[in-house]
This record gives sequence, structure tokens and C-alpha cells, in this order.
Amino acid sequence: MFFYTKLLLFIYGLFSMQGLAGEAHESEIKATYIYNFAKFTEWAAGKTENDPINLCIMGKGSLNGNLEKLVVGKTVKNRPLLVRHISPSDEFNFCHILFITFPESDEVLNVIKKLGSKKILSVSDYSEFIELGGQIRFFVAESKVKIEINLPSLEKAGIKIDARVLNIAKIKK
Amino acid sequence: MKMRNLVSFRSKGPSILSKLMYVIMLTVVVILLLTGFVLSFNEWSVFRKISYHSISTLSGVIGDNSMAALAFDDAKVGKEILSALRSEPDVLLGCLYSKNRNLFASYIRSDYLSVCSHLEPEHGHIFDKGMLSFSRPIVHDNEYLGSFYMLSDMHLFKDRLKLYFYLLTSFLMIAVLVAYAMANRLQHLVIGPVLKLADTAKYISEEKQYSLRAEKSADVEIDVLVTSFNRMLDVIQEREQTIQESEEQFRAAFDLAAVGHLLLGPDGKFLRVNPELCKILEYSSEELLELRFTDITHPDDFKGSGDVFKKIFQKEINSISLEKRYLTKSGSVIWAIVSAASIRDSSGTVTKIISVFQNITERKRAERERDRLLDFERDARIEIERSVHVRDDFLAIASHELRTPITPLKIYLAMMKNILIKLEPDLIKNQKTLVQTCINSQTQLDSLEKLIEDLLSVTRISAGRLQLARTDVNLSLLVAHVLNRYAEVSSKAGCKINYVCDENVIGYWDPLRIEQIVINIFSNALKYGAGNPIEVSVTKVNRKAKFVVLDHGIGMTREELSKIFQKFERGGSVKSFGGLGLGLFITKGYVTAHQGSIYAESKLHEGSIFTVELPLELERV
Repeated sequence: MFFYTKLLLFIYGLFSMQGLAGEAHESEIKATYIYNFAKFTEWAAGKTENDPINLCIMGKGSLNGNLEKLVVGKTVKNRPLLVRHISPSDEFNFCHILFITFPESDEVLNVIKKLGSKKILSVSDYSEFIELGGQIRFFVAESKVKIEINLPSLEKAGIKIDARVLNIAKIKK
Repeated sequence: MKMRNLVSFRSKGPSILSKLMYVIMLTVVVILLLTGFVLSFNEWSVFRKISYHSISTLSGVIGDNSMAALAFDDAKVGKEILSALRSEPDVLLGCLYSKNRNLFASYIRSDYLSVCSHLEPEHGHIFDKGMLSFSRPIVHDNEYLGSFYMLSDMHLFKDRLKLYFYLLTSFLMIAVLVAYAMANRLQHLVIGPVLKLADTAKYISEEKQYSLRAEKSADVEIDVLVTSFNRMLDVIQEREQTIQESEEQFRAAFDLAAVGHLLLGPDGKFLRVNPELCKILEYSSEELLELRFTDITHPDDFKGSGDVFKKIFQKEINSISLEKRYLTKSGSVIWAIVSAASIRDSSGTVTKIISVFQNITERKRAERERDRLLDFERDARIEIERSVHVRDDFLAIASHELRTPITPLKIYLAMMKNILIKLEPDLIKNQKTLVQTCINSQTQLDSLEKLIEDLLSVTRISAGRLQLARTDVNLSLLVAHVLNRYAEVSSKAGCKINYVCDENVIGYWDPLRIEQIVINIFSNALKYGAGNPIEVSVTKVNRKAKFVVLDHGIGMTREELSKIFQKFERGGSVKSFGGLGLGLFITKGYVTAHQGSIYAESKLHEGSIFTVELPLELERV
């Protein structure tokens, strides 16, 4: 009897650990995506070379430090990558990529308004992000993290994203 | 002079025609094969390069396209991208590997049975077993995203190569056929003149028509050959003529010679004989040519001539001359001198013997006759010598025996004379006559004794048994004494004697013999002096005593002079001068015994000079 109790507890443990692992996995994937966006995106002229590319994270989910881990020592076209954690009230003009995670819907709206047509690639896992005018949205389908890209919004902001990325994304035209 | 025998030329071993064909065909095939090989190799390497290039490009495109899929870890998209490979029939496998080197997405051609390896293969390309595998890393902005592996069976390339091979093979075969046909048609252009020349050469050598000449050719090389050939024919024709002439000369010399001529083959058979030989041996030439030389050789000469024959053929001797006997057809024996010499061919092998056969039967007969006469003469001479010996022996014995009774006879006579003289006063006149008779008998007896003494000396000299009793002798004095003793006789003969001498000419001689020498010569001078003066001299000349007697008497003829020192010879006739004719023989014997010399000069009716030379210094033994 005792044995079965132990076995059950063990199986449960396995599941819960997998759940945790799954969450961790997701943040890792998202961090990778963000890093890859930095790689596959071209901001139009104006930004000085060798200046760092600022990857800003706003909101409750902070990717558990995965992004920091990922970009340590890495460069994109010889530009170092910096991770900045900011709050919705902070100034974010210096950001190149702005990741808004687990936001409140009005917060998102505010931020999108603030972004306007600035050359900042906006990314979020908020489900209505594209409809609100955001540029890239994470979503989970077939238990995989996927992305949706809002091409008109990108064009408006003057940001070019590598065509190969479009291969793997759901596109809103 | 047409090309009649082309076929026969071809049938005898490999002809130039077939060789030429062989050379042409071999050249063509080798060139084509080499060309084909080089082209194939070039094609192969070009195709390989193209294959590599195309697969490299293709994998580049695929890899590039799959960057996002790899970066965003989207295997489904990766697979979609890979499915584009379906349009490439060469590609068997396409495998994407993630950056942690695990299989990410794969494409397998529907009919291909293998799958992608789960672990990433090494980067690079490998041509192996007709397949090309290619693996390249996918890098974006210096970041390694993964790798792409592709396997191609180079289907297209192989098909092209196969087609190429078929084309090449059929081209080669057609080329060979065309070359064969052309060579076949064209070779007569080259070989024709050569065959024509060969035909001419064959005709000339078979028919021995050395006056023919090969036709000139338009081809330079053939023309050189034709010119040389014709020049050679000139030489041959000239030589043929020379040979013919010398053959003619040889035949004439051989056939017309007055001695026998013959040629022998190695088997001993007669190869050729001349009429004279036939005449000598009494055979016809046809009969002789059927025979061997042993058939006509005398049985006693078989071995000798057989050996000689062998030695000549074995090159031990080149030529020889020998006398041997032959048998004629009728069986009579013939002596012949046979001179034989070997005849060699160009390699030095003796092929025949030429020999000259001279009949010497007559000469042999004459030789035998001469030998017989010589024998006869020798026998006669021996008989004569024996007679002389017997005579000398008889003389020796006779003179010795004769002397024996003379001595007692002399004593008896002397006794008788002495008795008569003692009785003289009482003797009557008639008895005085008796004494005179005794004296006369004594004189006669002395002569007789002297004669016998002479005979004895002669026998001793002839037998070489003369013995000398040497002592010192003064020749000047000795001669003076003798002259004194003969003074009476000289004056009786009416000869005036002139004696001239060196003093004391002394030698170591036998005095009695020397006296005899002097007496003999001097008494001869008196005897033949014809009453004219006689000059005598003794001198010393060059360590020799020289005794010379010169008379002005009757002299001698040259013939007489040559004989005077022989036994029983004398100048003048037997009738007018007495004596046995032994005097000078004995004189010469004595002089010779003293190692001296005697010689005489004379002129008929003018006189003679006798000179004796005796050595003064004789080694005293």
C-alpha cells in the first residue's frame, strides 16, 4: 500500500516537474526568438554602428533571466546585445526590441500608442496584440510556440524583417 | 614485268603490306583510344566538378532557406523547405541538423531505402561508389545554426557519361572501319613500287638475267633503292663476266695441261678430271667421275694418302706434295707426284681439293737404274781399296823379308873383301879383279838396301806408322855435309853446286829423315839437272827453316808437276830415268810428319824449284 502511494507521488512529481520544465522551456524559446529577431531584423539607417542593441523586457514575466543568459558575449553585426528590464511608465525610446509580457490590456494599448511609428520592434504574448497594432505575437499551437507577424505595422515603422522568418510565421497582411 | 606474284608474296610470312596495314590500324586505334581516354577523363572530371558545384549551390540555397526554421526551431517548416528537393531527381537524401547536431528535418527520395543518420555527419564532400555526399554548416551572422547534409547518386552525370561512352565507342569503331578502308585503298600507292622492284629482283635472280635493270620510280626513297639496286646489278654483271672469264681460263688450264688435273670432293670422289689424267690412268672421264681416289690408289699407299686427305679437309694442312703409286685401269703401277691444295668457301670450310698429278714412272725407273750403277761402282771401289791394302801389306812384308838376308850378305862380302885385301900382296893379277868384283857387289848391295829401305818407308807412310826420333839438328851443316858427300857425284854429272845458307838454322827434328829429305831433293836435281848449275839455299824465314833447291834442267809439264808427290810417279819416262818413283812420295811423307810443307814449281825445259819449309819451334812433347 505504502509502495503504491509512493509510486503515485513519484508519477505526480514527474508531471509537475514536466509542467515546470514546460514553462521554463517556453521562456527559453521566447528568449531565443527575441534573440533571433535581433538577428533577422534590420532597423533602417540612423542607428550608429557599434552601439548596443537594446532588448527591453516590460511586464510581469521576465523570461526568468533566459534572455540575459542567451545574449552574454553575443553580438549582432558587431553590435553587443543588452537586456533592459523596464516598467510601463518608463521611457523606452532607446529600445530596439520591446517585449511586453503578460500585460494588462490597457497597458498594452498605452504602450502601442506610445510606440506609434517609432523604429522599435514590438513583441508580445498578448493574444490581441496584432489586432491592437502590435508587430509580433507569440502564440502556442500544437504545443509549440509560434509567431504571428503584422507586416503593415512593420512597414509603417520602417523595420525590415528577414524574409526567411516570414516562412515560419503566421502573417497578417 | 607485271606484278604477277602479289599473292605469292603475301603467302610467304608477314608481308610489308600486312605490316603496313597493321601499323596504320594500330596507330589509328591507339590514337582513338588515347583521345577517347583523354576525353572521357576530361568529361568525367568536368562532370564531377559540375556535380559538385550544382550540389554545393543547391545545398547552399536549402541551407540558407532553412536558417529561420533552424533558428526558430521549426522542424515542420524545415521539412517543407526540404521537400523542394523533390524537383531534383539526383538527390537521394537531404538532412537538416540542428545546432546541437541532432537530426532536425529530413527528405528521402521516395524510391530510396535508407534514412538520414541521427547524428550530424562530418562537413565536406565525398565521392564514393558513384555517389556524392555533401555536408555544409549553416551559419548566420557568425552564429552556427546547424548543418545540411545531402546525398546525390549523380544520376544525371552517369547517364551523360554513359551516352558519351556509347558515342565514343561507336565513333571509334566507325573511325577504325574508315581507316581500314582507306588504308586498304591507299597502301598500294606506297607499297606498289616496292613490290614492283621486288618482282624485278626475283625475276633477275631466278632467270639470272643480270643485264636487266629495274625501272626508275617517282618516289624519292624507292628511287634511291632502285638506283642502288641497278648499281649492284652493274657490279654483279661485271663480276659475272670476270668469273666467267676466269672460269674459262681455269677450264683451259685444267683441261689442256700436260699434267693430270683433278678436283676431289669431301667424300673422296672425283668431281672433275682432265684428259691428261684420263690418259695416264687409262680410264674415260665418265668412268673416273664414278670413282673415288682410293679406288685407283696402290694398296700400299692407302693409309698415307687417306691421312693426308683427312688432314686437308680438317684444315690441318693447306697444301701438300707427295709421291705415291696408282693403279691404271689395266692394273699397271704408276708413280706420280701429286700436289694437292684445299679450296675453301667464304666461311673457310674446305669444300674440295684441287690437285696436280704428274706421272713420274719413267723418272722412277731411271732413278732405280742409276742406283743400281752406283751400287756396282761402290762395290768395285771397295774391291780396289782392298787390293791396294793387300799390295801395301805385301810390300811391307816383302821389303822386311828382303832386308833380312841383305845384312849378313853385306857382312860376308865385307869379310870376303878384307880377306882378299890382306892377301893382296900375294895375289896374282886375276885375284885383284876379284877384289874389284867384291867392291862392285857391295855398291849394288847398297842400292838394293836403299831400295828396300824406300819401300819400307813407303809402307810406313801409307799406313801412317812413321815414327820420328827427334833431336836438335843444324840444317845448314847437314846440307853442307850432304853436298860434300855428293861432291864427286856432282862433278861427274857436270853440275856446279852453289850453296847459300844462314848460319845455324837449328830445329828439333829427326836427323835421319831430314837428311833423307835433303838427299832425295838434291839427287833429283842432279838426276834431272841436265848438267846445269844447281842452286841450294837454307834460310830462316818467319820461324821456319826454308830449304830451296833450284835446277836448270829438263823441267816438267803442268800435268807431271801435279803428280810428282804421288806413289810410283816421276818426271820423265821410265826408260830414261831409273827408280821406283817413290822418292818424292817419301819426302813429302817425312815433311808432313814434321808438320812442314813441300811444294814444287817447274817449267818444261827451264828447270824446277823445290821448296821445303820446316817449323823451327815445335812444341817438345
